[in-house]
Amino acid sequence: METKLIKESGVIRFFPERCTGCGACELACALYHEGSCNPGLSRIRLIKDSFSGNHIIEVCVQCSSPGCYYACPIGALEIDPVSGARFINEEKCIGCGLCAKACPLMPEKQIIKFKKIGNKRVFFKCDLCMNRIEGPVCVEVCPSSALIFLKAGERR
Amino acid sequence: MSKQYGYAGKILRINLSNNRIWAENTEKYEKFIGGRGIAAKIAWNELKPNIDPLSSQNKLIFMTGPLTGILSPGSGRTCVAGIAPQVYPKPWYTRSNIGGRFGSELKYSGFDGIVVEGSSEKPVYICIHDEGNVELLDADELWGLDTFTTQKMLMKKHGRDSVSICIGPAGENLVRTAVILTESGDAAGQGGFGAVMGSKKLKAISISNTRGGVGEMGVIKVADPKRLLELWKKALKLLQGGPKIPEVPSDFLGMQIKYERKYHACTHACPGLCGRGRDYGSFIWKNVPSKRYYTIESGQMRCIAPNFVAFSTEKEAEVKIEYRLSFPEALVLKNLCDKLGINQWDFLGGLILWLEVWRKKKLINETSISNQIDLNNPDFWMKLLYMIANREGFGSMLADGVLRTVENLGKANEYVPYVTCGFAEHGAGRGVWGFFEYPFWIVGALLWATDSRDPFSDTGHAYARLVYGFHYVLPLKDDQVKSVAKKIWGSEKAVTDDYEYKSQVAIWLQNRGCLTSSLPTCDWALPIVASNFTVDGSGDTSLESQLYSAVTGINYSEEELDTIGERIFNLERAIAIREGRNREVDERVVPFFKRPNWTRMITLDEHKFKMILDEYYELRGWDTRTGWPLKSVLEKLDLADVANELYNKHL
Repeated sequence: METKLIKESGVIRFFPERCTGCGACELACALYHEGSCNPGLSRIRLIKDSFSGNHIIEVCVQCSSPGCYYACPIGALEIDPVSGARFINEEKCIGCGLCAKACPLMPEKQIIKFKKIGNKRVFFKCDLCMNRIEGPVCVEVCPSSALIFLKAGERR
Repeated sequence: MSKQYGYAGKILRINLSNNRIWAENTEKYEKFIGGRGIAAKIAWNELKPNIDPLSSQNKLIFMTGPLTGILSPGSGRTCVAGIAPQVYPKPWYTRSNIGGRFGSELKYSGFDGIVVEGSSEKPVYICIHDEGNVELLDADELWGLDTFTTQKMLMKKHGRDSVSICIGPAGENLVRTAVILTESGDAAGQGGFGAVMGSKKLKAISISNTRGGVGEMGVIKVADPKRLLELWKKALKLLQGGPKIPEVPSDFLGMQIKYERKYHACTHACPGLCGRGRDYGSFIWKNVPSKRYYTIESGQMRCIAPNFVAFSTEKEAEVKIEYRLSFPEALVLKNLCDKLGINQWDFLGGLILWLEVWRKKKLINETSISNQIDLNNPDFWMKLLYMIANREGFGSMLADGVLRTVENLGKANEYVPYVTCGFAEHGAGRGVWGFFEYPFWIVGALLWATDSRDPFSDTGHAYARLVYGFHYVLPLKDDQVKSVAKKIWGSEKAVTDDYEYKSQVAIWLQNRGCLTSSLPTCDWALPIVASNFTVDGSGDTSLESQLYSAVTGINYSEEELDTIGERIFNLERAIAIREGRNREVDERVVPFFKRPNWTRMITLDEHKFKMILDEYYELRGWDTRTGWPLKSVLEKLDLADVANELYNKHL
């Protein structure tokens, strides 16, 4: 089996002590990618704990060696040559869900989700808003700078 | 309406008397936008006068708007409305408002609102699942539990992403100041709607949307996503200069505080660092050790809640009040108040002040409680809260509100920190807002005179924001305040020492207040009347209309949207008129404002006030003698049906 070197990716980092639990990240993500609002359509996930104030963010860490990428049987998981984002080409996706099964963070965390288009399942995950000049939209809208974006080279 | 931008499209209807569940289209209420507007229209159609608020005849309306659950500042809010048991002497229709994520999740489950009618014989809760599946479930196990435990039990059962609103023991025991609560302290406080839920034996409403596999049902479409994103960034910029790493201040009420705390979003899509670091801002405190009780894991302390810690009246106040508890004790009491589900504004700004004043004036000596009143003793506070929530002893009387207690004791309404219709002081310059100086409380007097509840928490804040620097605004320079006032209301006099140009301000605030809770937005943030991040200190009052247009695709100018606010306010006035409201009722605020103001001992000039009330009615197009909206005005506001019913049946 032949393996090729995959470009390293940028990543979204979370600072829990800054997070107010407002959920703007989820709303902006769904808004940018789907043109509508529903956290179920967001590629980033907030688990708000209003009692403790300890909120959690779940988002793809863009693994250096991405299980999802290798698991996809039809090559719908692609690597963006600029940002290095591991993303799902939704037009190619056949809805088999093998990428989600291969993700090392799942099922404890919801990193790869699907939406229903008619009877068809289409999977989606964080693509670092790779086509957006301003960078990831969740980072941009966060009122308290609890999310920051590290480019591929800046990642440690 | 099949599916329109910004709306889920359907309103859930539930009759608890016969367990009937159905849905109606939101579209027919379209001209009232959402939230408070749609709630008022439903009330006009279905809640006739003389309904006992605690009977099965009353309806409890939960209504979101097109901006709920959207990337729009403070969009998580939901209007709660119905006949309100807190209102004194005779309950009438009014509204409240709740934050958190409940409204958003309601829309994601496919509904713009819920109308609950009838009442159940045994405790139940409403459970809404994905794709709009609704069930009525047994709440025997939940009945009697506090609001925090109830929510945690429901989360255990329906998943950690589920959200719920619920009542505590106070609501179950029909305390007239009982709240409906969500999360760790976000409540629909005004009106006593917790007691309405209690009377219907409705413990909670839980919504459990899964976070994957979303279909068409729970998706709220946005007409212009790009523009909406720009507007969000614009709002952030005006409110706090853009995204900011939170800096938590090291002091609290002038004390150095060593406990951990962080900023907390009390509602979905909160635009940022609420209160800009001030004591009443929205924080969650964590791991606070207490010698007297236990280590408090967490607790919110915002808005009026710092009054659990300490309060002292202005030097010139009629009666001097001063008390102080330790911070951990206060946090325990704050959490207890939320858990029992008692309205904190009424408790701290009304009942506590009244007790202390009456103790000092020796007016309350005949009751069992008189020799125990000690505001420096947390045990007294705790006992008092339990007595009210469980209606024990004197608490049973207090549970019906201070004014009903005074009436039951056969005393006169003196030294009572209640402005009118059963609501505690707020923005009236004589009470917890004793710092609010002349002439700002003149605007307060007009708002109080013509509203159906405490008008400050959804209507008046914007004025305080400009004149004092409040919420997201730090104090502006005098010339900035004047120039902004001139820009918005047409004259600098709107903010200077006089009775002039106060009715213009009141009307603008009321129309905007209607929009704030109909769209909805957060009234601590919008309308953005002022900003510390523009040269002249002005904000952007057109943001609401821009947000509405971007989300719905219906392009309204600021003026057009204001007209809808005016329509909603006039519809509410029509409801009030049908309930017997008139100018005489409006003028009931006069005695309160004739008491000296707590800063400069200024009293209301009754003659001048009646003149600006005339001016207010004339500007509104209301009859100056009766206070009724003129038929022609209602017709102009596209309320011809309302005008016909009002003038044909009730004249």
